[in-house]
Amino acid sequence: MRRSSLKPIFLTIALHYACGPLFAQSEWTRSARPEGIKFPDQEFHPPQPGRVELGNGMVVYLLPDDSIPQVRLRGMVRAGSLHETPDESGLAGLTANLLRLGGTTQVSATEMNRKLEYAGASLEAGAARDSAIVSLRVLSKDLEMGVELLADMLKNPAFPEDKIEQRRGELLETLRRQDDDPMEITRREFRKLLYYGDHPYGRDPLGALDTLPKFSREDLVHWHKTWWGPNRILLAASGDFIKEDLLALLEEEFEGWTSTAAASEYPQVVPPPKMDRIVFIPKELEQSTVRLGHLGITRDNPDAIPLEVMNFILGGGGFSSRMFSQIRGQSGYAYMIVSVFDKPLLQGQFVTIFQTKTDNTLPAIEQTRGLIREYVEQGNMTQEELELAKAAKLNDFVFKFETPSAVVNRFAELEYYGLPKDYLETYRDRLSAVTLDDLRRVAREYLHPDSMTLLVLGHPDSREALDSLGEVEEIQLREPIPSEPTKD
Amino acid sequence: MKPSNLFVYPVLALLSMSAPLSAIRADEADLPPLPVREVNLKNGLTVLLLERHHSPTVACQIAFKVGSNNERTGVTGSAHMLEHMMFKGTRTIGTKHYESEVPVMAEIDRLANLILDEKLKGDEADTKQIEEWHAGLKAKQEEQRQFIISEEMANIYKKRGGTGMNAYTSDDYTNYIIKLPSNKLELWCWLESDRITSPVFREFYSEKEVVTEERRMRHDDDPGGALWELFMATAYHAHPYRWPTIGWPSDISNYRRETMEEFFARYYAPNNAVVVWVGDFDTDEAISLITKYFQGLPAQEPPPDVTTQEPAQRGERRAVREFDANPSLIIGWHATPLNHPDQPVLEVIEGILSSGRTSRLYTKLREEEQLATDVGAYLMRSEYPGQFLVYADPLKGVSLEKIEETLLAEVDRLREEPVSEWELQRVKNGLQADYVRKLESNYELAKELAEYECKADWTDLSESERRKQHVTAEDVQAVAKKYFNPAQRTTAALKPPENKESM
Repeated sequence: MRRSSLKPIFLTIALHYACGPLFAQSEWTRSARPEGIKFPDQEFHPPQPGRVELGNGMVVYLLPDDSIPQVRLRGMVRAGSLHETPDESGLAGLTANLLRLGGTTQVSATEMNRKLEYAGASLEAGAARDSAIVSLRVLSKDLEMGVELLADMLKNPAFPEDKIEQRRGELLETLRRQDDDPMEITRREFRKLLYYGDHPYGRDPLGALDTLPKFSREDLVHWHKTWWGPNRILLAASGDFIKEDLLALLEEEFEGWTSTAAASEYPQVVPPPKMDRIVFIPKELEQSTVRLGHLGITRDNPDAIPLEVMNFILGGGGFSSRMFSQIRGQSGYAYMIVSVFDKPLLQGQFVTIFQTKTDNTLPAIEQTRGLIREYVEQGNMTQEELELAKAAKLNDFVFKFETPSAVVNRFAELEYYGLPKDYLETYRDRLSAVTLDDLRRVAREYLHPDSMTLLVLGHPDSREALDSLGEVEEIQLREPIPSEPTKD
Repeated sequence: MKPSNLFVYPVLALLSMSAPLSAIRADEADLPPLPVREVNLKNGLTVLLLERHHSPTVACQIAFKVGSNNERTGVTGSAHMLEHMMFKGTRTIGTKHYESEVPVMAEIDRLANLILDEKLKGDEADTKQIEEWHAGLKAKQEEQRQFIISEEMANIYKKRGGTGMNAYTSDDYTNYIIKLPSNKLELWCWLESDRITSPVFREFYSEKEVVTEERRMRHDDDPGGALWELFMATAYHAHPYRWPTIGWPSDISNYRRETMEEFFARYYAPNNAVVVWVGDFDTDEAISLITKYFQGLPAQEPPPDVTTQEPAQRGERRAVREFDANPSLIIGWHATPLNHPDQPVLEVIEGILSSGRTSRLYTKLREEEQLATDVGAYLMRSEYPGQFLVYADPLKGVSLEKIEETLLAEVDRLREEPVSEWELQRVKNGLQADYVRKLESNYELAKELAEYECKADWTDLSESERRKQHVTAEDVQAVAKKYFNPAQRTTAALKPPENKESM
């Protein structure tokens, strides 16, 4: 039964309201435009988490907040796939997954699952490029149990063979299934094109079809020994706990875990000999998926803030960006279009992404390229656009601090990425100082419309149109790996 | 695969003033109470307010009890298309001079309708004439562009800190969402009351193209979306759940602006809407603000209910979607609407089968037999009787027959033997922890309230949570026997075409 039919509808009264003066009872009148509304002031000072170094060298950020009876711990570990050699592709992730999936020398995987899930808690571990991540969410009454398991898994992983096989099989299947998803395929292949010379950023952190089958249990043990240690973790704790109690618990549980000697030297990103390329991947689909861009910046780039504003106007500002309003709104070429400067530890990428039907592939590419070129060459960003972008970023600043875990993770990330401690405090002032001249300068310095890599995944029919843009290199989706024995 | 277009999260218990949390968890009174204030304006608008001050922000939503359910054949996807059009401005917003736009839009509509009528003639259509009209249409669209201020509503919000402005449409309801700094609430009142008073469906014909691209992305080029579409079209023969929320491609290409205007006029009434705010505000001030801006909207004739009922299914249904992709399987049974007494039991069953690594499907299909990557169970939270389904993506070399057999064996076990007390308690504890987790997010709380109020009644949230905690092993077995019958089952498989079979 729909509830609407049960609700009394005051039709007659409402009509009366609609016909008569709206608000006879008060002085209030609706302003003609939203700009006429006066907003109350809002003062906002982000909460400051504490930072403590444990006896074993582990750094912990803490932000107690008792509004919800739950605690979150999140550790960023310098054990990401960035440290892999080409032969090790996928080892960082497999090892991180197995910390959790394999149980420990004290507690079997099954027992660990049962303990956590009976308490409604979650404990996870995985690896991305720049870092491995461990995370614990637990009701505050079960904090001790959660921290015990977290420490046990980091210190004493069991790495049982059967769980390694299970995870290996799942990862291979996940890689295989990437080829069913146009966004996944182009994400993977675009990185390969930008990060020359088999740089780890050009590889998939999940691993590769030809490396994953080779890892032995000893490889995992060795990876863990080399890259996981208290000196390589930044732990962020938030929620319902007492600071001194949690610190005492962490000291006790992580006692005896010793630092590793591995250095953190990262392989340099080398630009490809030719950035200006057109690459086509045929697949029988209705839409073409397009990526267009080049190498970008590192997270600690001093121009990061003006560049954020510059990209907001171009394609990063959602509904408010030029790409959205022209390519989607006016031309109706795409449902989704966005431009991104990602900011990892090493050099990131600038990439524009959209999907459009086969017939529109060429006009949509040309319009997007034209838009970028015009933006850079004419420097035609307006004062109005600048003000909108700055105001948006200033006013949505509070959303970076919506929950205690968001706050504390943000502080841990600043340290992880080597950004100054006062980054957040000074962010708003530095943002306010951005001028149109800054935008023009960073657009010219960091956008290179004449030297962009264009990757198109689409129907074989869209290839012909691309030929009009220049020399097209074609790559085929990888071959399926040899069939394994059937299991039924 | 994951059922993608009806993505609904596990139910969350909320507390009304009349149902304090301590009554639900007498043994653990440590959960903070959630006093929601419900206000009904005289025009029938429902307002739900949940005041909490942990962050100086508010999640604001306005939802309408209209979705693809309320459509008919020929215009499927209208609710979703309308949702897109609601971002195109009003008589005040998004325009330099509305009056000048009116005649241009009338001419655009005239030409567009001529083209559509001509195209419906099929092979008989005069293509040269169509091209001529098309050129005229393009010229008129160009003419209107000089009056349009593109994405002005989004920009007004953005400039004042609005974050995550968006909307989504489902079978049952449509929800417009945003988060705002807590000092900008009046802006929300202004813009949202304006948008439902005098929306203008600018750029209608280019937006049809955008929606078609969205359809290609979500359904035509996405194996998961394609399989879901087939599954629903097979499980339902009569009820509108049988068509996809985004609509069939030929319907999308035949949309006319006047159809959307009629649809808007019928369903976007204050008495068919719910406003939800969760976050940092003073409840009394919020009521006064919302009343000022929204009470002037006239109540309307209540929109008609969906009266078509799905007839009982008498016999198993099977369907195959060929797709050059890795295989996937969905098996579903007819289940309950959201406010049905068996729904909480089915939610517990969903947890027994698929939440966490101690769940039955995970341990069986991933750990013990290593047959699949993604595997799970999913219960639709829908206004009308939905589906309970199990699904899996097999590992290479594992046949869909083996997957089907194993999934069905696990479902049969629920009918044949009672679940253990440990499993039952594990699921209940997990549901309670989920509840606590959801308290972190204003947005998630607001979304749950809006969804429940649109599909049933927001107070059913707490009732449902209470009932889940009282589910017994006997309930689980009885409900499994009642619903998981072969004759009510639909199986949909996605496979590569025969000639591409490499699996």
